[in-house]
Amino acid sequence: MRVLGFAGGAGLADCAGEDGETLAVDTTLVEPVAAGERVLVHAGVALVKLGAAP
Amino acid sequence: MRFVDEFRDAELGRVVAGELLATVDPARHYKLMEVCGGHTHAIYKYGIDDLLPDNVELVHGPGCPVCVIPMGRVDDGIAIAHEPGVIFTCFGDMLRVPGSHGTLLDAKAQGADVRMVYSPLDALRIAREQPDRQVVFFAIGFETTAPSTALTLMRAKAEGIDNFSVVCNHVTIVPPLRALLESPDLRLDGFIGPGHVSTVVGARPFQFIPERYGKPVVISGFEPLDVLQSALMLLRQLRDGRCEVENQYARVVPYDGNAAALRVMGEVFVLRPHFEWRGLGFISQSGLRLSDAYADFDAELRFATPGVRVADPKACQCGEVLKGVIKPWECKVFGTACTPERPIGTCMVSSEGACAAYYNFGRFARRREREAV
Repeated sequence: MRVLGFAGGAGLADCAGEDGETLAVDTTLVEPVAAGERVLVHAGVALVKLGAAP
Repeated sequence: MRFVDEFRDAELGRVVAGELLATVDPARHYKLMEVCGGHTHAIYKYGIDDLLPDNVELVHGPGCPVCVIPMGRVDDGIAIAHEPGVIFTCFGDMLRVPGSHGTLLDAKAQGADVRMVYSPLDALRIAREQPDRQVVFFAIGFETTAPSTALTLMRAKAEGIDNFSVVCNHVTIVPPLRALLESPDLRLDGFIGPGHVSTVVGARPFQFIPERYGKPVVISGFEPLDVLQSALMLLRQLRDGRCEVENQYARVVPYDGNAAALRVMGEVFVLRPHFEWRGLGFISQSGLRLSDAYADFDAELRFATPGVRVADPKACQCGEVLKGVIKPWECKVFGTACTPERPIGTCMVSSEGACAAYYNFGRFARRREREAV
């Protein structure tokens, strides 16, 4: 998913999937993470940073 | 789509298939286990086994988290769901897993407040919104999912939310692999290792497989070319007389895993002395429970549960399927009494279950194959 921003509170990012669906994702485990980066998300938690979106 | 399209290239798939054919010894039969249910799903969905040489057999492993939940644990969940005032939450797949007297979906039909969530964070949000109700999350999954439960519990504790609790069914991947390797039933030549579990635990925990059991492991991604390439890497190890853990999924899996995830798991969970796996029986130190620091959030301490071990239905052969001893279509009830619409065994419930994956995709290819003969 692509990180859109951090409006959701501590450690929570708004993320968008390839289909445009957005989810609040806990990014605690991959911090620091920035808007525009891609993360692998499982059960609402980002487990891996995959780098910047193309 | 980046990370996806380039791993679904059919032309490249045919090239890898040619390399596979050139690598195998035609006089030898190879048996490779794909540990993860996600791999099983990909293999049947994309027809990967059709691209393998005839003497390379893929065997399905125990890495589908829904498939390994025993009936007694489902019964415990249903008992809690029927408690007055409880909102019982779980992942969608769990709703249809049979207990001894029905499923969570049946409990919902009978009036229990059972809700599907996408993550434990959703369950915690419900607890925040409904402070006068007890919200219970039925946690399942391997090390991939356990960090999500752990982080949710840490949030609940930090926020002082006291109407939230968890039935912890999290399991770990290494003990069942060790049990399979010790089993006299099964002769395996190598393992296609679990990709997403490895994002958390890394490659290191699998080193015992080549070192102690002399079997190669290749940690694999989930796209069709990932799985084909992993099979090729395994077969090349066998051809060259090598035996090691290789990481085909290096674009995602770091060798040491995710240290932060392992740290939160270490804070929230401790190993149970033993845990029952459907079809595999009790395996020592294979399940997680909440640590003493999080005992206030343990639904098994908060609510009375039957806690009774329930034998699988006699007709169901999920155990043999999960151990790779039989193929889904060799089960007595496959596709007749047991279908995705009316599953008897867990392997027919989840899309990652070998029986469901084969029922949805593989049986058509097999029918064509039989007709061709």
